[in-house]
This record gives sequence, C-alpha cells and structure tokens, in this order.
Amino acid sequence: MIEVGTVLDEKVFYLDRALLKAYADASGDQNPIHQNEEFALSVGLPNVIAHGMLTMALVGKYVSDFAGGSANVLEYSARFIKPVIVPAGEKVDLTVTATVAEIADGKISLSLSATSAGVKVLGMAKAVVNK
Amino acid sequence: MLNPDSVGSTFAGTDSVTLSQSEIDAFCAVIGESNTTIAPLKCAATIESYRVAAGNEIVSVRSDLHRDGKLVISAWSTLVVRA
Repeated sequence: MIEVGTVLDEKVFYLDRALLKAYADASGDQNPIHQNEEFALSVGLPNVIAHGMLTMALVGKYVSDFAGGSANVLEYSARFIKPVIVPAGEKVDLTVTATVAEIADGKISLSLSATSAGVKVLGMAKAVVNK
Repeated sequence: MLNPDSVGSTFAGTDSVTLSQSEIDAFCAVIGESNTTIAPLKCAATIESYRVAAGNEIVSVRSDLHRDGKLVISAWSTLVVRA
C-alpha cells in the first residue's frame, strides 16, 4: 500500500562510456566533456561526466515506470548538483529511489533520491504523478 | 554578457518537427524505454527571467511543446553564467 512516507523500491541504472556515446548520438549533445577524457580533465573535471539530461532521463524513467507510463507524470524537476563521473572501462551506478511525500487530489508527490558512487547527484528532485 | 532586455522574448520554432522513428528508437534505447511513438511537435522557448547574483548571470528559459495545438509539456531550465 502506498502512503505518505512509503519508500519505493530502489532501481540501479548502470552507465558506461558506450551509453554516453549512444546518448550523445541520440540527443545531438556531442560536448566532449561527455566523451573525451583529456578534454574533460583540461576544463577541470575529474573525468568524463554523464550528460545531466541523461541522468534526468533515467530518473524520469524510474518515475514513469512507477506512474504506469509517462502520460501519468504531471511534474518532474531536479537540480544538477554533482556530475555522474564515468571513468573509462567502468560501469558506474545511478541509484534511484523515492519517498512518497504527499497524496492528494488523485496525485502522488514523490521526493526523489539519485546517487552515483554514494554521492548525491540530483538536488531538490521531485515529481508529481497521477495516482 | 546577456541582454536583460531579452526577458519575455519568445523564440518560436518555424515548423512542426517530426522526429523519425529511428531517432526515437535511439533515444529510448539509451534509457530503456519501450513505449515509442512518433509525435509531431512544435516548440517555442521564452526567456522568463534574468538576474545577476554575486556576479553570476542567471537566466530562466521556458520551453513549450505543442501537439495539435495543445500544450503537452512545459520545461523550465535555469542556466548560470558564472562570473
């Protein structure tokens, strides 16, 4: 039963360089910080980082799966507070969970948690879905 | 430096954009989405606000996607140009 305070099942997505390349090709965002380690280091990043919108899309998938489809997602917002760092040859986690914050007027408000390597990557992440 | 007078300006797409099935498939494959539907969309972006805080320029942009004349998605992005 879903009630305020319910913590939804965790889902772990895995990101690697191949996924970043696939997302770059699909989205058209070919910024080298998402694919070229030398360039990423040259601009002060710790390594290649995932596209913020990829992170948001994966968390959005978690939300839409819970809601029973994207048509039931009414609102979804987040701030990018830390990057998802994707070293070469590694699969890094994006661990997502949510807590039911409010149930009212046929809608469920979720407070979302998204971490990678134990680091919170999205801030103020929340969604409203149809009940 | 951004132009504060641009607040309220709307930049409308010139034509309806239809994404190809292959483009949608490629995007959905990345995030593991299986529900793929081609949707002709019209997009317009509006600069909603601009302010400067501690030397950082902060601009908020609203993007609206319409299908068949109906608003289907509004997305807000806040961009920061660091000092």
